Amino acid sequence: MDWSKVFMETFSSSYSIIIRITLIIVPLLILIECLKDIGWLEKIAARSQGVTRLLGLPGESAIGLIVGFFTGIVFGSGVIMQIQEEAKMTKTQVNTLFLFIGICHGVIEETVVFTSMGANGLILFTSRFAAALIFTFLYIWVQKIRESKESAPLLP
Amino acid sequence: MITRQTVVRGGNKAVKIVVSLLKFIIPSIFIMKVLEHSGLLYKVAEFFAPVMAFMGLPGESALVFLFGQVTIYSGIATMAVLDFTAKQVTIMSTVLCIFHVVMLESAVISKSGANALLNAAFRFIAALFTGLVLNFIIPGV
Repeated sequence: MDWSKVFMETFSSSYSIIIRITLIIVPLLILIECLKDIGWLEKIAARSQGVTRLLGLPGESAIGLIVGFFTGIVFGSGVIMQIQEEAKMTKTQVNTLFLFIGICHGVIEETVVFTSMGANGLILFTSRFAAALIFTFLYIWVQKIRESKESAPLLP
Repeated sequence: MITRQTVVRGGNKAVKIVVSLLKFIIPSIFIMKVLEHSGLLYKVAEFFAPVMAFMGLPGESALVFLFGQVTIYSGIATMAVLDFTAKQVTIMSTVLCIFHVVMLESAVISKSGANALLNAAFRFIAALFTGLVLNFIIPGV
């Protein structure tokens, strides 16, 4: 094995990728901080009650959903932990919320970075969003069937 | 309100992220290059080729998944080393976006009271399913 070639190629590849990622991340994170300071996330959350209702979640969880959706799972779960005490979500609701965010989170950063790597950002975002919706509904559906089976013997 | 502090804060965060990424990106590229030049990459690719073919991906892309479990950026670095077509890059990115760093994210999730195993399982199935569907839908090679 040619070690000098390995080191040279590692250096050149790392160099080009790090430059590319730095050029994307610095403006992107500044932009996200600006949006946070304007209160843009809260504004969207206030209008997204319809989405949370669709997933059978309490209205208070909208802010957690939106923060997780746009910025990432770590921030999102931090916000959700604070909400949980007020909103009194059931276990199924918490699972539903995290299933959606788990599949579809940090969409701004990840979509932009992957687009710079040559992926089609529109397909990436749409299919991810669709997958999140499909699998979240699947979970809700399975839970409904389970609950109806559990309560069935009690019915006359 | 946007002040100078907002910009400084964003810039600081970005620099911190980039510095922490160096620890992951350089080793993953180094390992990929060693694998490539020692010929091991082809053996790994051969082993995973039948599974990855379902999503229209080459066998080497299994390594992107593997490295993507460390940080998403080491997955990206691995992707940049390998040769993909435009269609394959889109499929690979989508699958990696859905299923990455599951160990860490599941730990975060379970702290909030959700079922981590269920979450991870759903994400894995969702990733494979999306890859399969995209392979059918996107035209071209």
